[in-house]
Amino acid sequence: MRIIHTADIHLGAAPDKKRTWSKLREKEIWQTFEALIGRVKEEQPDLFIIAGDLFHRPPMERELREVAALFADIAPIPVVLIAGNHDYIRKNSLYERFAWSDNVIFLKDSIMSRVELKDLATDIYGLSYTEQEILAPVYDHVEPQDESRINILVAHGGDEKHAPIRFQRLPVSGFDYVALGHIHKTAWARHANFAYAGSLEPIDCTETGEHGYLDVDVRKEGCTVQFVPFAKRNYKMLRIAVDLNATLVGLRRSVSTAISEEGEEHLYHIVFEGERHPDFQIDCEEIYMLGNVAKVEDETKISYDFEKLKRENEDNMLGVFIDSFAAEDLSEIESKALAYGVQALLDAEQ
Amino acid sequence: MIIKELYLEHFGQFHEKKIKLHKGLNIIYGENEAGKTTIHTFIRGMLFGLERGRGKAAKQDTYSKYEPWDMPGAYSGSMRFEIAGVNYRMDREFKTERKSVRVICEDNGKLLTPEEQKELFGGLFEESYYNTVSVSQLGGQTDGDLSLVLKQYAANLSSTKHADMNLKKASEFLRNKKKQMVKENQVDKKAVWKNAWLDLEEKEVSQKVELKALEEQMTKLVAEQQTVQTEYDRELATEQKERDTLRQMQVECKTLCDRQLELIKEQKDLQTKIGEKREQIGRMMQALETVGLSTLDDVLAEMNRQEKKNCISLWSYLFFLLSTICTAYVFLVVQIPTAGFACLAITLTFLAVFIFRTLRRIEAKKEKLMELEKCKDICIRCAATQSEFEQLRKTCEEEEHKSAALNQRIQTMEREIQKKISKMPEKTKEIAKYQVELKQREQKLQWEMEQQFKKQEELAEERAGIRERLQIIGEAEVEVKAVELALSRLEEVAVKIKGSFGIRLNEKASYYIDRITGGKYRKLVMDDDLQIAVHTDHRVLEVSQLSKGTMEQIYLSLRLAAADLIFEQEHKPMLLDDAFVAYDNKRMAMTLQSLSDMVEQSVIFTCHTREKAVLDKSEIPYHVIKL
Repeated sequence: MRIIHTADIHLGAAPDKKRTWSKLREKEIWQTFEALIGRVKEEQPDLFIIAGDLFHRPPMERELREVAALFADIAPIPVVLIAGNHDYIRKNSLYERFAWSDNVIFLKDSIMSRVELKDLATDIYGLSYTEQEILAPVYDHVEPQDESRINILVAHGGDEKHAPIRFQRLPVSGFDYVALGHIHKTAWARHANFAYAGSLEPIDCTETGEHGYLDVDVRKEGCTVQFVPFAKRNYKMLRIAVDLNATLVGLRRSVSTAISEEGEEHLYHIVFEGERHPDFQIDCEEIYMLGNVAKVEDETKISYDFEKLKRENEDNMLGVFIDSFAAEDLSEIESKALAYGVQALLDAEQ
Repeated sequence: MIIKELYLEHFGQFHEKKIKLHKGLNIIYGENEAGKTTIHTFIRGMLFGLERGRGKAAKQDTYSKYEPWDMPGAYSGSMRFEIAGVNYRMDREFKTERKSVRVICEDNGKLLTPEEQKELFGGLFEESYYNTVSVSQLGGQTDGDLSLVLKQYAANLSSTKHADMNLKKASEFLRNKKKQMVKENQVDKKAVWKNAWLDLEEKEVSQKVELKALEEQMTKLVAEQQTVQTEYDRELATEQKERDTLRQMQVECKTLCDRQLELIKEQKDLQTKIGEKREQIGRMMQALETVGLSTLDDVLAEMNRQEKKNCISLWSYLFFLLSTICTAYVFLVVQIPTAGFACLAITLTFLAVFIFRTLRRIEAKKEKLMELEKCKDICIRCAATQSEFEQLRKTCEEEEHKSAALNQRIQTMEREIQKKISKMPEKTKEIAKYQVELKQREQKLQWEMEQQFKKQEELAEERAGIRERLQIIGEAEVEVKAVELALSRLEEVAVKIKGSFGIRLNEKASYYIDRITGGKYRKLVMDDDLQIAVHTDHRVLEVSQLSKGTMEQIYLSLRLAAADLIFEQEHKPMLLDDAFVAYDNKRMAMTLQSLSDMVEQSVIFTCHTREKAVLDKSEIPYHVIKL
């Protein structure tokens, strides 16, 4: 059977809050989700699975209504939904008692439950988060009841505080496919029966790489997982080299060029590295102002040839100062102190 | 550095005066006012330039003092010297308006750039010049002050090495950097931010509590809504039942009303019938009247008569019958026909009369009977009618009773119905209104919860912001620690250098004092407080306990030692201006010997011949320049 598997959509999130495009991204996350529903309608898979964190926080009435309308639109394709650690189900909330259209299967219990899809000879297993954390490994002991049917487990978690999972067990668990959510990076192993769909749109500048959904062909003999890129924008990390001749103008230009080459629709995490002239300091604000820059990190170091300086200044303060630091294995503070002292002494000589 | 030649082009009293100098001891001998100090000043001027003083000082400063008065405008000189085997010539123009300095390398003719010039003189600053190579006597000081001067001198030494200048500047640089870091990154506000974090945690906790409270409210509200809904349904059902009952009652009522109408109609019919009957009876009575009692009497009389007649008749009948029989007998038995026929005729006549009478009687009877019948009829009918009438009347009464009862029932029912109608809608309407209220409350709660979630998000953002800020502060603190380490290390190094300088100074000065005093004073020690003491083989003496002469020697030793240390490889010529005034000959000999042995070039300005005499006696080589 054919499944479209997605997770971690985080409707309602507004990434990069300090940047100008934050609200736009919030809208784009909704738009991409709508587009995905459109895609599901076109492709007509047998099943549509959302493995948790559909919403960025426990949803309000109008959010639920919007999504419910979208789900109703793709009826009769069954939609399997579970609540993740972000959109956990609060007691007596509207989320708990909301009436979805008939094609929506909301596994809202906090204990494992099973749903039969008679037409597809398939059983779906899953549970939802009713708190922000699940410390017990709730997925490690579940087994399908009827091996003759296609058995699918929908799970959200996989780290310490969110339903830790023993991944080695999954291929022999008896499930034909385990649809995972929670890790925002798409991941699956060839010939494995489980996969993380990854977030549909990247939410944070550390989520580099492509984002989209998974198109999975599940059979008793094995699964084939195909990744379909679907996000409007990606985050990319750019490492920009800095040398002794670097200027702010030059760096700005390098960054702009790199951005236009890599795509102006994407968002960038700029890291400056290398050695810079002691008088030169990178003004990160200017880099942010280039636009499309989500984060700037300055990993450059002031360059000094300490050996040379020591040799040339054996008889004076500078040389003795450098000499007072060991040649190797300096701690971070020590090497910084050395650089500062040398900078100060060189400055004093002028 | 060795000065090879001095050319005072225009300086003080000298014009175009050349003075050649050599390695080793050079004695410049001249009487007072001959110009020794002038030459000394010239050397200084050549090395460092002559700055004009400002304001009031201008009149008496060195610049003015040595400006040639007899040829104003000309104020210049040259100096040829050798450094590290390379020969140079320096030309200087002292006149402020034309101030200039030129250094040419004589070996390759190249003009030196200012940087090269600076490098050439390596570390020879005016201060260090004064504190080391330019030695005049302590001179003119009282005993008590001498040691003070020494102390001051020693203190000055500490600012001689420009390294200390560097230390000060470098330290300031670092301190400023630290201040800047602290300010920019708000390191000093760390506590504030930490408090903000704690505040935030409190806020988050209280927000969670608020949210929980709202949720509980919501739960209660939902429960209440359900209860109310159940109640509503119940009331609705009851209402429904009531309505049904009402409808039934109404239907009943209607039926009753219909019935009533029927009854009324019936009653009316009855009444009509009763009327009719009454009329009938009336008519009958009338009829009866007409037929009358007379008739009845008649009838009675008649009947009486009849009775009588009947008796007569009966007899006549019997007679007749007899006659008949006689006839018949006669006829048949006796067979007298005529008698027979006569009898027959009689019989027949009797019969006829009889029949005729009977017939008439019958007729009249019939008539009377008929009339009687009629009467009877009428009576019967009357009676029937009367009984009918009675029945009708009874029925009518019954009906009236029924009607009345029905009326009552109808009225009661109508009242009940009214009551029910007036009571009914209230309950459900109330509930519905309450439900609307509840719904409004629900929406308000929803909105409040939404606000709380938004607030939660804001708090999370704030938390992220504070975390970032604290991280920045943490990183800045590391940088600040690094700067502090650099500062302290710098000071350690400086102290070390100073320390080593101090120690080496003591060593060198001890060496010199030993040589200069011929072993009388073996060691010279200057401690951290700049207290100077000398050691003999047996004793330690404070400087205040010493003679002026000895103090001069200590002074010289220190200067020689300092010059050694500061200039190290690049020895500078020692310039001694009337330095030996307080020395006895022996001391002078030893000192001069030391100078000859240890100092590359010394220039001794003196107005005595003593030095020369001593040098000759000790067979110490020297050059003399007589002014």
